[in-house]
Amino acid sequence: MVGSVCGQTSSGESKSAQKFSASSIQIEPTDAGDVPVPAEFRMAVYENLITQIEKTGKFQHVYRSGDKDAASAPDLVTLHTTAKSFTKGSQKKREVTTVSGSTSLILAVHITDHAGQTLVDRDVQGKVRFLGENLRATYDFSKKVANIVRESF
Amino acid sequence: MGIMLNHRGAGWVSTKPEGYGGHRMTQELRGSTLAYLLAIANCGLKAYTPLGVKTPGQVQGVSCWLGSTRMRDKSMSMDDKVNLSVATNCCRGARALGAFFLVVGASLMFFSAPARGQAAPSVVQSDVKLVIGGDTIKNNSVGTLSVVGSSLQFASAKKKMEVEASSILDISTNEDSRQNITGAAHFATMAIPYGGGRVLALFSHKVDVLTTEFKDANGGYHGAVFVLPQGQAAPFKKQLVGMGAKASVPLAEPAPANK
Repeated sequence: MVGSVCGQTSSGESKSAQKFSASSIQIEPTDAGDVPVPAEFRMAVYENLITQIEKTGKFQHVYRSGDKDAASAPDLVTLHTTAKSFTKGSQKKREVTTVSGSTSLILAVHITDHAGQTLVDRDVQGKVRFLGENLRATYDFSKKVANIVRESF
Repeated sequence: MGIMLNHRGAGWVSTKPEGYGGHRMTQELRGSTLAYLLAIANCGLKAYTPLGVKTPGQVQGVSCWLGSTRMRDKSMSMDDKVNLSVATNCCRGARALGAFFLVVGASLMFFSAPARGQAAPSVVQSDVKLVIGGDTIKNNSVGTLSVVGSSLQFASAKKKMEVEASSILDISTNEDSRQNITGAAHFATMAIPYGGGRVLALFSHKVDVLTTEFKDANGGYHGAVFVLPQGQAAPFKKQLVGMGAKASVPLAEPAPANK
């Protein structure tokens, strides 16, 4: 699973080179599935994604899930994230030992167009290895997703 | 014999002087209302003389009562002499009106106080960190979290955010730990030789994490994560759930004591 993390597509390399165009994107909250992801991590992923995707400047509008205005957007794409694995580390362990206690989360990232066709499908890992609080893994994850969006749009 | 009624002297001033708190002004206004009503009642009592002598009061029937309301800025003199029967009838009415307004004024004064001001916060916690999710407030801002009325409110030094309890889709609490030394001091500890900085990393404290998921007026989904001192998140959750917030995980009941 880790082999396919970040920068590789699950369904082939040809898609990553392809550029799509859309004026607006809607971010959906993280689907934890069967993975026990704490609520604060799910919320931090969602909020960080909105911030980081806004920063890319690729879209005129970045809509939150459920936003009524998104319905009238002509070429809306939707970003879905689904949890694949989550390991909660310990800040104390990380800073004392430097080799253990890292926090890691892997999420599947899907970007679909308004017809439901998949444009981007990748697994992305966010982690914090040495410095910082556990929630920083969500920031790392969303930065990587923002890079994917920059490459794809 | 005459009654001098000066509205300004009685404090019937509705302009708000600079630096005056709203509450203080309301109190003064309420006090002045009572004083004014007392004066009206007094007017009625003095005007009513059953012995049939010339009565001090306002001429022409009901103008005794009306006159006192019309003349806001003037001192009113009631030295005019009136016909006894007209004055008696008029002033009985004035007395009754005065007594009525006295009762109404007093009831307003004593029973309306809690409804006028903003509801006092029921749960308050200072030194709360908003980790993420404050739209206009910067991440990692420190401020005061409180439940005011029926909403959750976070106020930092400059800005404030408010979430209505009924718009909360889920609220959850969790435990975590945070380092005692953070920020610039934390980087400074890394310079301590022989791994001394790592020893300092052992010192940490437990915290509570309060996570809320809510919708804005446009239906947009939001999340906010707060870090509170240990044991302080549960009262917020309990209070908000009581006000209509939803929680997928019910609040844990305290474990029964072993006997």
